[in-house]
Amino acid sequence: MVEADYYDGRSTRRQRVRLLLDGSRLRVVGEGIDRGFVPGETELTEKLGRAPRLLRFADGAYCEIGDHEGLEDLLARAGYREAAVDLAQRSLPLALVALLLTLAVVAAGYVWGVPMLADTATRQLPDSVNRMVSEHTLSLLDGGLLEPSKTPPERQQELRRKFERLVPAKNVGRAIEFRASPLIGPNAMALPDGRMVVLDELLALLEHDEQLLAVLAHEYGHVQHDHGMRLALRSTLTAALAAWWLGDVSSLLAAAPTALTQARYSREFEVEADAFAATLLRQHGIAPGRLAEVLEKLAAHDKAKAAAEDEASWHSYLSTHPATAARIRALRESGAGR
Amino acid sequence: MNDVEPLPPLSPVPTPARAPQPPERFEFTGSGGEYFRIWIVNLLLTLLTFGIYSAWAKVRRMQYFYRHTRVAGSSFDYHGQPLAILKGRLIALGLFLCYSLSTEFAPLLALPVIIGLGLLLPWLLRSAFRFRLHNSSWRGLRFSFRGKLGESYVVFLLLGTLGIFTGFLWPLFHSRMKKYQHGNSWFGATQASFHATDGQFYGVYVRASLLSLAAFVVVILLMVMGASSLRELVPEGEDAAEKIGVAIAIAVFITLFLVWFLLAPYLMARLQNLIWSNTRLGEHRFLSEVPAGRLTWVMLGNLVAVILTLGLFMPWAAVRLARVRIEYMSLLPAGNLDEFVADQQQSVQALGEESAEVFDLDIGL
Repeated sequence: MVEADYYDGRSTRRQRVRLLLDGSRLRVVGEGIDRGFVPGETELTEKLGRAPRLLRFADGAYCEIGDHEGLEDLLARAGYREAAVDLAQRSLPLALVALLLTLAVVAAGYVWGVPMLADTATRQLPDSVNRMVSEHTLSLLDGGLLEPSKTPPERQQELRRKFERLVPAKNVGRAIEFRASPLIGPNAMALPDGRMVVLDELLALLEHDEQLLAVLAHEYGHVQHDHGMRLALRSTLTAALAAWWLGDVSSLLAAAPTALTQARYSREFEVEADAFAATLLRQHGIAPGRLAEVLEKLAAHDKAKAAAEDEASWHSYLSTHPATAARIRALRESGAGR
Repeated sequence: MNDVEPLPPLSPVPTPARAPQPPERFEFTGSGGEYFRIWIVNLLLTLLTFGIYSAWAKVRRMQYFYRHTRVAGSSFDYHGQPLAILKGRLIALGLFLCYSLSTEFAPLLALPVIIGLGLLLPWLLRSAFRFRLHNSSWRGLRFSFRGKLGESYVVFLLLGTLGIFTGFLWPLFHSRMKKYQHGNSWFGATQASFHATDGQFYGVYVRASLLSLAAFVVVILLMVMGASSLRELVPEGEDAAEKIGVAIAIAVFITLFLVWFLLAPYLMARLQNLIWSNTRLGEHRFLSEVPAGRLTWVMLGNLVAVILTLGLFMPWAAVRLARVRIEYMSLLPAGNLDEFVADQQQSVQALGEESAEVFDLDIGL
């Protein structure tokens, strides 16, 4: 026999009732209340910790039962057993198994899931999206960071022709855009639609056209592997997942995984573009070491700039980062092994 | 087997009284260990179903917290339907993707998208209020939210935008938002009302601002003192001065960060107390006396423990926070709590609304 509270669903009046077994019938009995119930037909909510369980009748009336042991005993005597799924949800060993599985799923999702999902999505993107994104990016940059190039048009054409000799015929005609930017400094970049932007400051730093071709081959590697779009989608996905996981605690904490993965992926992509460039350059009789020369020049430039501006050591740390040294070494070796 | 005879007398229900009755404290009976089991199973199934289970997970989570919350001897219950929650989550995901893809890939589109989301927000928030209250009950009676849509636009779009962009109008927005939210809440056929003034909200916010200003001054003073003693220790030189500068900058940053973490719980406690102590349900009143220091202690502990466990402490953190926020609240009955009745007309109407536009959004309001 179990004592419980009964509410009729129409008012907040609380009435004490008893749940009892009468022959083979289960009944709820109180002052002016006498109704039968059948577990499995009348809804009995699952056991959520020590919270009261609710026996809900179809007309909105219900019993609030706090005496779990009494109820379980009563149901057992009436011949009812709890659903296996309800028992499993309360089992501690199963909770620990769930914990281990969860950790495994999270780790796998972070290491393999995010890149795979983002890369698949990138392949599905129509060209029109790439074109639109590139247009937006370039017009945004043109409105702020970039200035028109001062390189003479004849020189621009000459460099375009030289690069077109490196790539398969179907890719000829991909525009190389020339710009200038004192703010960004010597650099080149690839847009998702395949266009590449070369800055005057980079041309000024280089001594030989083969060095520029090496840079373009590297950027072309980014294009061929859809690096721009893949990086953007991977970061977006990581950010969404991190926000979901840690967003409740601190948005600052949630930003950390995104920054970390972005750095990891972009290093991975640089190495991939280097390898692509090395192969392309070798096929056309240019030493991959040319790209290594450019990397050294860029590192030296950054260091000089940092020294000139008397900045803290952060800048030089980044440019002499082991990753750059390793890239230079790898490029030199791939040339020597020819 | 037969339980029917003989029956001992039932323990009596307290007899109804007309006069004001003693306060009824809210109780929270949940425990971290118990909730952990629910949480981890929810999490795993959510991951394995790519988020789809999260709607069912939310129902179990809400039921856990609602049913462990008791007042006057009876617990609350949550009735949200997983499919309605799933619908709301898909809408939210769609909106999030619009926002994040436009800012990432099409910066020129970002502004129109943000404006569009802003126009949609008051409608979404009102729907979320309605969903949450309609699906909450105590002693078998449902709550409901009956705020007008136009008012939602005035509060969230007009005052909300002003509050965000001016800063000093934020307390006004907060005050009006709570008036809209609590003043339009019903329990059965009984309407709630909200009596806090704009000035009281300004009082809480001004005190918090003064506290943070004072903390900032103290930090700066400590830094200056620290710097002068450092300068005596470190030999003179350009480099040394620079290093001290960097050290001070870092220390200021860290301290401000800490102040922020201390201030947020303070503000949360004070606002909860203001809001609930000025809310009435019919003639019944509430009293909220969450001590700011205790809430700060709980929240800081939670933060540290969640970081150290990479998130695994979260179920314990949620239970600890719920306990401190619930157990310092009381209901001050003006009469018999057995006399609330359901609004028959409303429940018929609510059924029609349910199919039309009821979906859930996760909001922290």
